[in-house]
Amino acid sequence: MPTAMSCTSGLMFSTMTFLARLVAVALLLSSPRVFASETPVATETTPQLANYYELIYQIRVVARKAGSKSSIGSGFQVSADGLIVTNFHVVAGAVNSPDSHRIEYLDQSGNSGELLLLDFDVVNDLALLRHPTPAERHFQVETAEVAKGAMLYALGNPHDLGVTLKQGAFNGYVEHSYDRQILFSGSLNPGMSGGPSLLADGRVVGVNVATAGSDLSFLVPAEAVASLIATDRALDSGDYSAEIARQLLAWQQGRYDDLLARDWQRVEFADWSALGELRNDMQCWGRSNEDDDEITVVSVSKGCDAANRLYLGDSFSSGHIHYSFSMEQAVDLSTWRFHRTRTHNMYPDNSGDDTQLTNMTCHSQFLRVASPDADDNQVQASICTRAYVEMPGLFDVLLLATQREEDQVYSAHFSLAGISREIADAFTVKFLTTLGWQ
Amino acid sequence: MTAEGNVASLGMSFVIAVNDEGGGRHERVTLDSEGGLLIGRGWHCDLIVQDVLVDAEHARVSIDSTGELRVDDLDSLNGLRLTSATLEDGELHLGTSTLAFHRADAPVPPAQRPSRWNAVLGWIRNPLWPLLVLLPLVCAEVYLSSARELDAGAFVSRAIYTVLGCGVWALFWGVLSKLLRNNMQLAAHFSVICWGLIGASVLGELADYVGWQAQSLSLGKGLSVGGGALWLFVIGVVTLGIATTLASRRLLFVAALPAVLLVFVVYGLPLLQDEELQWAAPVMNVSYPPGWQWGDGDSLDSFLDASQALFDQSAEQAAERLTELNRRE
Repeated sequence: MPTAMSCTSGLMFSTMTFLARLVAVALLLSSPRVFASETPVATETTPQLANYYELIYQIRVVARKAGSKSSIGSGFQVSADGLIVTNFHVVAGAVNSPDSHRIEYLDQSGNSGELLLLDFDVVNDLALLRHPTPAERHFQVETAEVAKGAMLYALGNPHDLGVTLKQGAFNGYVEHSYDRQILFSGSLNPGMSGGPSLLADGRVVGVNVATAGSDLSFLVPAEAVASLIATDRALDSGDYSAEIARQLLAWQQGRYDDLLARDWQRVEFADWSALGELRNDMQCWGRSNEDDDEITVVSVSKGCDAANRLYLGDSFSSGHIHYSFSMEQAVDLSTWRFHRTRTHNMYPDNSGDDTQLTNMTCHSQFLRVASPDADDNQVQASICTRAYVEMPGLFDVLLLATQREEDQVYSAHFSLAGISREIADAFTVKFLTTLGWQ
Repeated sequence: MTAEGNVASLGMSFVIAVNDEGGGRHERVTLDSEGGLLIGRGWHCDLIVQDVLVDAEHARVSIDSTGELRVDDLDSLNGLRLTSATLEDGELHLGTSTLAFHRADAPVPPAQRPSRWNAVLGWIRNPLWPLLVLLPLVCAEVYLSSARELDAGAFVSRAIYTVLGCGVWALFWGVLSKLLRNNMQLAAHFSVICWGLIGASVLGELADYVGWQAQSLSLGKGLSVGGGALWLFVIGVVTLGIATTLASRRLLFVAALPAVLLVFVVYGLPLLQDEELQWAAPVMNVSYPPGWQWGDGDSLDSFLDASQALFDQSAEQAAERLTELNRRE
């Protein structure tokens, strides 16, 4: 449950799952009191690590007209010619509105200046910038495997309070994640996003990106940084949206190709069927009210989510995969009364405003679906789509399919964000035909 | 408009054959040279005519200084019409009602049944009938929309709430019609609103059933489940309220105009524009028992075709919005 660590208009954004707890963590992190206890840095490493403080930049996105920062994060230089690495979410404001925002650095001597955005990787949440007057010393990116338990030191400027070092262990990579992320048992705070996490000898093994609270944080692995540097290009500001769309679509294609090629196993769900964790990066949660007293409707539900989501901008996210199932059964309730009180809604899981996403357009009908058990099942199905305004070919798609018996209503739903229409079609067919309709 | 009648005896008694929404009846009145006879819809009138097209104070029949019987139009909205030269020889038409003046000592024809139009109006304006339909409907809705065990209080409180709600609307239109010198009786306003609510409930249910509500809600972003029926209720009440308050056939069309526009904006426009939807719940599938469905199920391919059409629409919307954004910049 990482929370991205830049201070973007006070918002700390989730790149993974468990939203409710995330909100709690975000609120906690916004209180200065939680910073009272710091894990002390081991004294024997202190002399060497002290040398790295001055290499940390504060990265600021500045609203041109306001002349003031709108978000802050951290960054560090990785080459002699002045390449600076930070998180995509730190500079997203400038990527989304390049005409009204600029990116600035503030070094430890108090110097500041404008940085040029060269490239970014929305999937791994990285951005590459060019410093006009590079420093003589810079960090080295280490792509070799690090042993579990190795001590890492995360550097960054939390809450604009000053460069701070946090110590924690390297715990390998996050399970239940489609993309590799380092699980770091140290505490990151807003503003440290984009800062480096080093081995004691100064080699960078990851970039601070998000937190799950309670000394659990996430780092972008150094190999993602290395491959972004290796791309070696300078994007034109007019191409930012197209590039985000290209990266998102390429990521989704691989992610869904793999998912759709898998054998989707039906699992038992009340008297019906459902899908379980289709891949390691999906997690399902379920509940039922059977044990409650005085119920008139038994309600069983199950929801599954993919861990990875992408931050595209302030209140703009994509990449969500969500599917859920519900079964409701009347207990001592007349048929009409039972059905009349059952309504099913569906909601998109990602967000965006009307300059980023169109309105939903929907279609509802009854259809006959062949399932593994029977050829002709009457299902009421609704589908809604919306398109990404500046990213042609990308859509959010919602589907809701319900089936009724005298005393039961079963519904299956999915919500997919940032996919092509081909993926949507394939997913719809596989989803509807895999389930055991009756 | 002034109509003059024959000379009437001072303190002369008349029997007036009234035919209005209440049906035919005889009213015995005595006219003298003082004051005259105030005719209108208002409760304070000497002769009350139950007719939505009659003003609160519509006309006055009096004996003038020359001793002649005359009728004066009190600047009424819909005017007066006399079928012959004298009041005693013909009929006085106000709205859809007629008054025939007969001397008390002359033979008076039997009271007539109300005209078809007046009979319908009379029936509509009596709040008893719509209440008899509405209250069971409201109770059925309470029953069907809750899965919990209900006691009598749930039904009674909803019934009271409904009657009070209609009462407030009736009071509003009643006060307005009073200000417009057209004080249609509160009971009539009340019954009109009850009918509006019945229509809204039936149409709302129908809209639910055919899945129309999802589209009807498209322009009311925050509206919840009952939105469709709510709109219909407001439409009905506003139309009928304006129509009955203005009490003019000519103005009925003017009164209907905002309602027709509202219906078009709420239901027609979204259909024409391929329903642009952006609210929290883009689709609400209302559940009916098995067998209650519109249309026979179509194939999965047809569903996919329909979804491809949605993608086209969404992409088109995106392109339009992008053009709009670029233009603004």
